[in-house]
Amino acid sequence: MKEKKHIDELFKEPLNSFEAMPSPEVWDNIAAQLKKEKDDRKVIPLWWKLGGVAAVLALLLTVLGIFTPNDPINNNIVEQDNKVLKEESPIKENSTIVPSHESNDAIVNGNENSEITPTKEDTENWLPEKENTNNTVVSATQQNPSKTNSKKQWNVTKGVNETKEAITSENSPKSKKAIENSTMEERGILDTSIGEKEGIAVTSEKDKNIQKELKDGSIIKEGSNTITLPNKTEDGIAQEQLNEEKKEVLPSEKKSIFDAIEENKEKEAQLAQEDKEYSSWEVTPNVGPVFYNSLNGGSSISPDFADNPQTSETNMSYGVQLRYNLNDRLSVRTGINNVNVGYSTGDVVLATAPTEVALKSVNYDGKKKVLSAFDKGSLNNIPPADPNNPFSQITLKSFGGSAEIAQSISYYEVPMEVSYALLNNRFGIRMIGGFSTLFLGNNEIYVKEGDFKSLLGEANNLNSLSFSTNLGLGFDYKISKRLAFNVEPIFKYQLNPYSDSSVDFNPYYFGLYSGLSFKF
Amino acid sequence: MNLQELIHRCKQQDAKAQEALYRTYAGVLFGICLKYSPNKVEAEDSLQDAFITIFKRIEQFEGKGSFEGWMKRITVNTVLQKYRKKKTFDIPNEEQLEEAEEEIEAENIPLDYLLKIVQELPDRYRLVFNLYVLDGYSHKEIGDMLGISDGTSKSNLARARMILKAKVEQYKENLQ
Repeated sequence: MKEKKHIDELFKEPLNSFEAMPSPEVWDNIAAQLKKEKDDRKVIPLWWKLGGVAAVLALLLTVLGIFTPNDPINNNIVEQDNKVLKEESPIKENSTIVPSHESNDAIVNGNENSEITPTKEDTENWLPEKENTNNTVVSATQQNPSKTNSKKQWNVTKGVNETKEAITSENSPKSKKAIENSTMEERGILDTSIGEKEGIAVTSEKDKNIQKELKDGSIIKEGSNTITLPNKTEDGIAQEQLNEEKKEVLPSEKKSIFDAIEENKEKEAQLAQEDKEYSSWEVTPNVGPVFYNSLNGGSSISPDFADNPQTSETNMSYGVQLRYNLNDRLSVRTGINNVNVGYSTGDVVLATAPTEVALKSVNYDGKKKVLSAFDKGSLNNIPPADPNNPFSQITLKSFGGSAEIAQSISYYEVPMEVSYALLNNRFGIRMIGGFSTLFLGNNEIYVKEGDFKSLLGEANNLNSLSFSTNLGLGFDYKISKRLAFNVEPIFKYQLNPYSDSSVDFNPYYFGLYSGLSFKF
Repeated sequence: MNLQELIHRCKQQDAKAQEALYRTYAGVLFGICLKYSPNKVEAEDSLQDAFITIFKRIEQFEGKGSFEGWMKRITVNTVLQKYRKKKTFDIPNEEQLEEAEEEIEAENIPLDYLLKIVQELPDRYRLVFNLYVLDGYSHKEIGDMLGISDGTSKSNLARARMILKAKVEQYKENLQ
């Protein structure tokens, strides 16, 4: 007697553990295809890498760009301070007027003392830094913190000014007085002036103890600056005279403080002008056509359409970019663009169908029966009506023409790119690389056939946040110092546009952006 | 080379590792392809596509769950996709079936014959039968995978069982 068993069981046991070897050609085919794809794909990792490198560079340079200009100067000044302090200290000890601890006295002593010469010898090496130091000290004394006489002033960054101001600003009221005194007084009256200054210094006793050391440092430096004066006069820099101690060293250079201030102001304006010319910020409104396509064919709407002919639609991208020039060649930029992309797929037929059998990638908003598109030929054999079989409920529609299904997507794109100028004359060429963050805006899938056009709905497989890697070239023509015309062909490869990983569709878009950039 | 290392090297598109992976799993996956396909040629075609997909997507495999299970799913999906595209609607009339006897006398039927009659099933019956009976998917899941309702999946399965049962009985008769 044979036992009965369910038909499923009869198959389950043997077939579940069933294995078989395919013919050897299968592997040969796979290997060949893999090799081909590897070769094809070599291009993409390069884009990825370049994009990554550009992004890292952008970040690094942005961060470095904020800090680097300060650092060397700051360091030099600090070093110099120490050096001068060391050299000056014996002098100070010898000085007879020192006991008051008043800084201005120390300066005068220093000037009067010919033993400062070692500092003098070093002057040439230090000159640039010295000028900066001097300028900042002077400016603080004058309560005129921003610009001073040095040509190199625009190099001196805020940080330096602030530090120096902090050091000297507290004694500025009395310095001012000292300046007034010194303008009126000749070298011979020096002693009186010292006396007066001492008197003033006493009034600011409150700060004295705290500031003593700092002042000593900075003011001794002023002393040494005095000695560099002969060099500076050649540059036409005159307001050292504002410091009374300098006046004593170089009586021939005497000018009224008002002249000097006037001159200083002029220079300031000049520098401001110069600063403007070197402005680092640039804004570029841009617009351009964008071509959307997939690297490997395929379809984002349905795998059924993967082999169908596709045509990229030419859409527009427009927006504005903000660029920061790190130096002559390197710049980073960001901005916002509205990008519209789209493509249409041919060789489809239109039909109304229950949503179960309609395109899965479209959001039908709960409708039961919808207009949909099917691969041509797939509807040749619709089964007879049967309420249980949704396929039987498909009704072909024909509007007399070749039907197409199209997808259009709108993104808000925020790029982060680095560009490097290969050529930077009136005509410039830049290499541009980076990445973009894409925020999904509107999107729709629609069908058209001849004059008929109907919206199917939104795609449900698009990521609301996605990224692209960008690489391109920028050509610019500088109309004036502030204005330039740009054309930038840029290729953007989308990394994760679709949430559905089964979509074997790797889209890219190519834009030809043109714009006018203004420096400000 | 252990499996993890093999996967790692496949992620780096190491050709030797890819071949090793193929040699290890071709048997199991080809078995699946044979069951889901009408003949050996199409099964080999599907196996080829499945491996290409596996190598392409191996980067996305995060080590969660069984690697073999992951490859099997890809293989099944590859076959389904093919028939979804090819002739989804090429199905004989699907009138409702009366509940039929699904028990059968156990007998040693050769594997070759079992496979042959599964392959001979109309495409969608074959897919539904495989998915439901051999791979344990529910009718609802099958409906989603094939783009049909679960009712259709149920009736397809019943139909497939009928055909298979008839063929097994026919085989037994031939033996006697």
